Amino acid sequence: MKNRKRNWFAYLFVTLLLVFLLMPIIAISLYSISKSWTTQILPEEFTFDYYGELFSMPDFFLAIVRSIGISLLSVGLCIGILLLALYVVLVYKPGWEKMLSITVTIPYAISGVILATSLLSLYAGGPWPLSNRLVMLTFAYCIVILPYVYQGIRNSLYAVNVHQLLEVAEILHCKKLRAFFTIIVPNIFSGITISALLAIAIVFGDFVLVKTIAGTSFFTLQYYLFNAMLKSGTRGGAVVFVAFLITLSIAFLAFNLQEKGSKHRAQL
Amino acid sequence: MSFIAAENVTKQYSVNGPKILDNISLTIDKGEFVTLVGSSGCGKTTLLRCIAGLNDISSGKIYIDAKDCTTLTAGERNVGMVFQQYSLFPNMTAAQNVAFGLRMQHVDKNIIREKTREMLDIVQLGDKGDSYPSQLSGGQQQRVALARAIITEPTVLLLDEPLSAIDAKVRKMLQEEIRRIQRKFNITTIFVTHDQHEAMVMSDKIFLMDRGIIEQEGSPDHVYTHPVSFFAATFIGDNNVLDAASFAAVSGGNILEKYAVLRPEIIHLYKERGDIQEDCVAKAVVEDVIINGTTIRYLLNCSGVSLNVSVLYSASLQFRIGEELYAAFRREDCVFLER
Repeated sequence: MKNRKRNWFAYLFVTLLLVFLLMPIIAISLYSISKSWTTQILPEEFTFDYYGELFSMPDFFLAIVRSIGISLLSVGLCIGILLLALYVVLVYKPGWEKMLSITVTIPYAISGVILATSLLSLYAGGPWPLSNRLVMLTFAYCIVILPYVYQGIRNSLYAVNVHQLLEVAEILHCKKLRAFFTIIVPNIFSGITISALLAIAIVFGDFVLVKTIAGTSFFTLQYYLFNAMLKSGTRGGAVVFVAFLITLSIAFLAFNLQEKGSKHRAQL
Repeated sequence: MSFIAAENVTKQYSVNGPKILDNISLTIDKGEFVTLVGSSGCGKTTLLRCIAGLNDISSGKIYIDAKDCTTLTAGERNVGMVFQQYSLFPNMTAAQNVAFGLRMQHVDKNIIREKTREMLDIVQLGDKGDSYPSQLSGGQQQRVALARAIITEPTVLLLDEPLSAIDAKVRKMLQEEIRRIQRKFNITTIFVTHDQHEAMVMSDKIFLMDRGIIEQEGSPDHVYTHPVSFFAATFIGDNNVLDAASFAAVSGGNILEKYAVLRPEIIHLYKERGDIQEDCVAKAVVEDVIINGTTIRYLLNCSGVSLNVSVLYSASLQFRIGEELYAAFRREDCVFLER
């Protein structure tokens, strides 16, 4: 009897939580297909014209491609650099770990505007590629997402007996660097995936940095959204809903790949 | 020349720090199964890791198969190692774990497949090749770790307390399994344990360590029957180590040395004085009786001295708690120690 009561409460709680989380998405999707929505709980009239308008513009698809591209590039770069840094620290300089932990949290304290203006003033007049706005933007994103990616990877590493696995691999004639990337990294892949998704969401949703550093020379989806919002809220709603679907698809793809990777390893 | 030799090996983590290994020298012959045994912190694992090449040494030399390996890395020494926590690669199946070393040596794929299958059969896990470590029991994981260590045909096999985390019944089975495989491949093996019974059961030779030095070395039989120090006498076996006064109270005789060691099985128990033929006799009272399966252990109070006696189980001759009896032993069966 007690179990049934507890289950009932659990179901109710989860349902309420789901409603709370999904309500903004449902609301924005309804708003994006509403022709007029003033005083009623639901829109008075529905239309898909805004979506038709969006998908008929080549600029929109280019903006999506740019957003996904810069997200993947900066996240990939950040993960690569961090993994190499962690390899050096864990294997050769364990005493540096504290310093690394402190260093990677510094970006928390730097707001987007300050970061953007500082980078511009430092590198704008510098030699190529440092002065290239796209390069600047990519590395700016690397800095912004650094603490999030580091925490996810570091927490995953705590769950793995890194030193002993590396020692075993060394005894079995495997070089340390290879051992790190073939044994340790696959075992923290779920941590990397989650960190990467969080970082992609941050980069995908950024407007301040892209506007300040790249301006109109690199038109991302967020920039497109800004312009759409100026025209009408419903157009903006449509862009937001598409952005949500894209982020959801990336997350789905990432988890699917992770699952397939595990099964593939099982079949080898 | 011995197959493995450590010459004056010292290990310190800092210049003025304590010596984890203090001028240790040892020799091991080819095909021998030796055990480094001692209490926690005595340096046995450190010595093993130094031989493996996982830890540097502060001074001295290490030779494996007549080659000076002191400055070689672990990968260059061609050793196999099994750790206490198994350390199987979680992202690989049992077969992939076993095959890993051969893959790193770029052995032909067909040979790898064949050898892996053969090795899994040897450790009786032929049907578990596709299982991940999380799907295996502790004993199975340890057997996979053993197969992984042996498949590369190492010069030396090093085992760092591999059975510590395993329950008693499986441990006994694995002790026999390890010994069987070691004899089959005739691999020189160094086994580390803090369990003196395990050391006695498995080894050709024991190195008893205490505080960074080798206290005593020898066959299990020799180390057990002829301890050279108080530490050796108290660590190996369940010996009665009596100072001069206690020995006098128990035997009626005096000694010049500091300690007398009486092994539990040299003391015989009698109900009547008339039957006794040994030269040292004392009256005693039974304080406790512990049945260990094939043996019975009696804890006696003998004129204020506690004695630990071990006899073969016999249904017809048993003593009860509180019963008075005679404990007798031959002086020549005792070992007398200066330190």
